[in-house]
Amino acid sequence: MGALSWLRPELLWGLLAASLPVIIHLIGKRKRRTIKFATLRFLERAKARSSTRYNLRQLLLLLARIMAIILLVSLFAGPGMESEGGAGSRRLALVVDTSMSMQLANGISGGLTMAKEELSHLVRKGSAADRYAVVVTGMGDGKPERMVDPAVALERIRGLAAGDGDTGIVRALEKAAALLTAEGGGEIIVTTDMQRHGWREVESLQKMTVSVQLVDVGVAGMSNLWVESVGPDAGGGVSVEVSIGSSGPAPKERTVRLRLSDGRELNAFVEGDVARFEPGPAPGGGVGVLQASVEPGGVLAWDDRLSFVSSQTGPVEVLLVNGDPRGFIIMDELLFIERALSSGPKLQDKFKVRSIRQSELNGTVIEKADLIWLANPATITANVAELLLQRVSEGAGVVVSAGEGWSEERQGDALELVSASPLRDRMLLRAGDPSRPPFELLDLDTLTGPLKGLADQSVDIGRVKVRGYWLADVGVNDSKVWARLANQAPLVVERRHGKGRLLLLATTVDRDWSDLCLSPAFLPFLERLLIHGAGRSMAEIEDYIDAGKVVVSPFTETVELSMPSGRRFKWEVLAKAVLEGAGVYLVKGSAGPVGGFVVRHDREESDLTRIGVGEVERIAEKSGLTLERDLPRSVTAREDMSAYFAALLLLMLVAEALLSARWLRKGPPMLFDDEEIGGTLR
Amino acid sequence: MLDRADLYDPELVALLSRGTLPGTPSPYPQRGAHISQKRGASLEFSEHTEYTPGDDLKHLDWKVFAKTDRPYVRRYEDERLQRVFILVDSSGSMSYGGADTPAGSKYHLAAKVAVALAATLIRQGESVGLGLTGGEGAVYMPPRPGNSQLEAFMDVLGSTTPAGEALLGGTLGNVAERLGRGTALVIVSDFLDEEDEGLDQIGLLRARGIKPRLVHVLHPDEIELPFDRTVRFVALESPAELMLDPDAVRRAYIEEMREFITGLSNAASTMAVPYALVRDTAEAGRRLISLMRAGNGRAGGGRATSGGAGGGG
Repeated sequence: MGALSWLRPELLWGLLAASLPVIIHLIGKRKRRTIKFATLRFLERAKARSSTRYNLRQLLLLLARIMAIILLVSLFAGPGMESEGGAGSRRLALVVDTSMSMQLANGISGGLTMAKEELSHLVRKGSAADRYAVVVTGMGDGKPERMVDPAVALERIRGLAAGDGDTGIVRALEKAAALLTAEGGGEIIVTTDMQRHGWREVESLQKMTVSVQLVDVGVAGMSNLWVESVGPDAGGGVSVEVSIGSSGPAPKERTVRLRLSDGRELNAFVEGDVARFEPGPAPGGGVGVLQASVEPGGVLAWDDRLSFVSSQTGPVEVLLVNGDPRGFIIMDELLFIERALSSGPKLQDKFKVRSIRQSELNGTVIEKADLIWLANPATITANVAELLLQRVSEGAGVVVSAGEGWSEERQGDALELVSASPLRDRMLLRAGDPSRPPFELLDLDTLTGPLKGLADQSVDIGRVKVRGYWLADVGVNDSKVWARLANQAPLVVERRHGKGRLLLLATTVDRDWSDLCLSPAFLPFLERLLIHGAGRSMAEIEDYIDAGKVVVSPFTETVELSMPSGRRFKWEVLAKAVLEGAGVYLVKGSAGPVGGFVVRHDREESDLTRIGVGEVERIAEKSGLTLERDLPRSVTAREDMSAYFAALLLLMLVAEALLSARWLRKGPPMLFDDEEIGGTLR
Repeated sequence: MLDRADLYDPELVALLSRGTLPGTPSPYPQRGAHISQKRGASLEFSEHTEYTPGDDLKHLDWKVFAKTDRPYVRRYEDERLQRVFILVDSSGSMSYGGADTPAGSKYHLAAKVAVALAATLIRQGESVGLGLTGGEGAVYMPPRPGNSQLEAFMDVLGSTTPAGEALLGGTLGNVAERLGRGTALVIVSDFLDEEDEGLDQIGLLRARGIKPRLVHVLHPDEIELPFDRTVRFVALESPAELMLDPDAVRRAYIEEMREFITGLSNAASTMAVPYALVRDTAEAGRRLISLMRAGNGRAGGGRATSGGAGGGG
């Protein structure tokens, strides 16, 4: 049983008029007149006979008149009966697909616009007692999802925007069903463009007890594209693979056009829904931004004219110089570095490693290297030192890991020039000293610069034991200490030289002086040091980052982001950022542009392929989900009661006329007709 | 006060003059238009009638009694003129219908009926008497012929203001003692006194050989109670009052009135007394003609008129 509702409730003030019959009755009783009558005998008898019946009739007459006024006023107020929802209200969960594809427009209105119109119409048509929950697809837009009154629901619907959520219809359905179940039941209305990706999890849908109406607001004939991959090709350029998605049947001929950074345009070879480009090396090398577009149907604002990074700066050329070659490989100084950097294809793509003996170090190999690691070096010539410093000034880096080869007697020779800091004393901790442990641990609080955050990784760098090290004199030149031992002896020291860096590791990278090479922390330690030393601040960052996600800066130094909007943003080391604007972000480090990445919406969101309602129904049936295709206009929760009220009003008027016997008062009441009077004559 | 113009209704008199004499013409037209209803001892034999208490035993026909074993008396036609006595109720209840004067009241209507009857009968050479019963004291004018009687008649009626109680029973007793047998008595009243309903006195009149006729005067308001809204009713003959909504009691009131009128009519019929209900002058003529015809004629005297009265409605 529903509850009454009114289209014009303000008119219900007219119900006060229902008191008029009572007031008139009371006034009438006060107005009495006196009549001198021949005899009261018959009046008294008549009164005794009929007062009870008359009073009852008068009471009924009064009630009929009051009811007639109430019904008349109610009729003007627009009576209606809520037919669903119990407790006098209807509960609807409005699931709105707010994925980016809902922006698709056919020139008249977009899918989301149509959805908002449909839902607003539905809410306005309902009664004030209805309750709605507006649930957006996917993760939601952060606003609380609860049952609200129509006014709030309308406001909420108005505020919806494409991109608030993703295409996760199923998750939204589950949320909506949970809300309605908690409220005692209701109905779900889904407005979506039927993007296939949105129904990807429909088979896992839990059995639902509420009915679901499906409103397809999709727009057919639209196309867009997204970059599947960008990578180096065999010729040293980039290879670009672009996928094309369409809502509805794909056009027979589609053109994907690639605009290069030098202004040239290339038409892609389209095979199925994929287009590939190999535009060759980017002019000038380094980072380039290309743009692709698709026609016809490419009207989307966000990814049918996609910009993307065309190339990267390539792997870091690492030159490992063995200063203590020992013939027996397991004793080799470079053994652990080589093994670490060859431990996986990812690192192999990142680092291109070459190992030489210190005696082989010359200008040719130095010129090609982005980073030169002098492992336990011995004395070098001034000429070699000059070549190294020259390369460092151009942006390369030199790392010196000092060990036994660096003797105290050879201090002041050319090796000092490439060291980040002069070395003063060699410290070797003995096992026999009962006053102290035979090793030093790292002071994790001192890890800064490229090593910042290393302690947070689960690599147990705090357990690394250093038994021997060189005591660096860091106060001599403008050097920075990135790590210290527990006794505050500098372990990693950096000194800038030109565009490059000179780094000093005050211990060895073999097992002689520390077990760093055996620690799980060795690889991240090494990787950070190499990338930082080579001036490649570009660290572990994806080529594509989903828009809206929180990203921690992977760069080992503060970088400058050039955003798609044109703004520039200083991204501190390990700082968190939410990259919301889709497009290309170019990264500039201290040594210049170091790469870029693309922030984009979920790649699957770009696939506009639609799923048929019938197919959804078939899949959903397995979960007990019943879909109805009717538009919500057919949902009529309010039954117009005007006809019933009018009938009751008519009934009350008839009752009033019968009870008041008004027509009998047109003439004086007749006691006898002539014949009857004649019958009394004698 | 009512003057003669208020009391004398020429149309009503003309109507009665044309219609009140259907009976057997008198063989002595110079002595009156009708054969007297009074039976005499020395005149021509008229008929036998069944004995009723009060009949003179000297007229008992023993031969018929011997033959039929039932007492019959011999009746003789009286060649004297008919005498008519009109008794008008001038009690307070008769004042209803008039504002502050008798004009338009039931008394006015009763007076007009009495004057019209008197004028018609006097014009026909008969003797007419008048009596008033009411609060201002009883009036008795013995039956006499002639226009002077009619003028005196109108003077008395016009100067009387209805008041007090009717006390019809007592008045009828007095009148019965004064009127001789065979006198026609026309009682014009509303009969609203409770003791009037039984008509006991009228039955006694009938036994004394007086032929009563009842003219029941009622105002239409008293029959139909055509009032609305709450009314305080004040009795005209007593200080009683009653507050009620006429709409509430109208139906029951009408039923009460119906029973009252029907009861009175039936009682009159039982006693072979002609009865007529008169509510206004328009219907007065027709009803008075019927009233006066009932019991007239040769075959209409005594109890023999009761059958005729029953069918004369």
